[in-house]
Amino acid sequence: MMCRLSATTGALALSTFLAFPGTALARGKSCHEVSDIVGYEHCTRYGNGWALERSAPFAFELALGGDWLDTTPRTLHGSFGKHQKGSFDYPGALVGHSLGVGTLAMRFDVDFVPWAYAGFELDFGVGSNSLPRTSADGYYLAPSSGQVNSFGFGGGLFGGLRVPLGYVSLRLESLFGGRAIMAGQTAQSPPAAPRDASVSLSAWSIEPRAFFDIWVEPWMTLSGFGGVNALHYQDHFGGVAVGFHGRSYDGAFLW
Amino acid sequence: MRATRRFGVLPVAAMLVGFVGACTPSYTVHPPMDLPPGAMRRMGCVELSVGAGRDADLPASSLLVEIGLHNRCDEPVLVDLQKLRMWAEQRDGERWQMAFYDPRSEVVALHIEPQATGLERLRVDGAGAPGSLRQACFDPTYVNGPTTHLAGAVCYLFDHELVGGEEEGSQ
Repeated sequence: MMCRLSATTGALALSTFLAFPGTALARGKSCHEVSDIVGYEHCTRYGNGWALERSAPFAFELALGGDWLDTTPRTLHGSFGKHQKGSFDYPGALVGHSLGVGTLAMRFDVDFVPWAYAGFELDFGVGSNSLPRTSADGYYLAPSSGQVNSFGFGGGLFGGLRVPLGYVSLRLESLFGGRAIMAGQTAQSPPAAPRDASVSLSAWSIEPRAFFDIWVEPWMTLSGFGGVNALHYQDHFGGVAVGFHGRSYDGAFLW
Repeated sequence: MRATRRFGVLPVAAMLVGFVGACTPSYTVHPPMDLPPGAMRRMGCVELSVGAGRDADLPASSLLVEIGLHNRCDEPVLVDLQKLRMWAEQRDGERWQMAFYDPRSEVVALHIEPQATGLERLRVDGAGAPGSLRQACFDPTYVNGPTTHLAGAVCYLFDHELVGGEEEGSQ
């Protein structure tokens, strides 16, 4: 038994907390350790902390990046706050550019074998997008004031293959999910006063993506990634990530 | 709001408590033994150190053995502590094998992860009573497989037990 305050321990605790908080708490209550000697231990086993067979084949990643959704062939849908009537739609081509947000993504995956993994991802983002001055469905629309006027979210399930190449590795994966970006806009339907509206753009996505990982220590990676939406190639995504791995080199150092 | 609460202050505090709690156990943790430089052996990728001494909580004829492991390579390496040869030499000249106390049969061959470091504390039975044990030896030559290179045994003298009072043996 040992207490290794490393990225592994931190990632394991964090991931366990995020994924199975109830289980972790229940285990903490039910198991009372009495010794650090093999054979006397109640809560741990010989090999915990150093043995491959006792490690958890998972990875937790935090990613900073960007999501860009193409507006051109799509329709933007505008609505007002809760309990406020009214809505409007207008062609995304009027925007003239993609809607984008800077994102913070959390990813959790399990390695089935050292070369294949699957997991889920959640993204949250904020950004600034300028929307057009136009009219739609009886509303005069104008850009909202303020620098940060957009937020987005997305996520889905992903699966991928990893090619271990020593201190670097390549990953090819595909995410099945969706993304949405909401941006602020001012809408006025005379003679009423202007109101704040939210214009949303959402899309299902199948995202083939490539990751390039650098192992900065056996349980930690820095990665760069990028991808597109296979359903609409003008949607694209990219960023950098830091990953914490329950198993060093995800179980394989070289292919 | 729900999302804010879920990932707000309380869960973060609970996580910190979990981190701290995980490393401040309520039971008595044996401090790492102060091992002499000669207590470490290197077998290929594996560095293994052995320390041995008496422990008041263990039977009188048993030893508390501390085994430190380190894999210097980037590939997992098999380590089988059942292949650690252990023997006790008595003052009357008798010599016999010692064995791990392993009621759950958990001391099995396991792969030490690349670049990983581990520490295990084990009870070793059959050392002989205090005063009768002259030295205890541990030979890790075969813990990571067959080899023609003999690592050499790490031995601890227990002469101090003739006068009593000290807990650990000396190499």
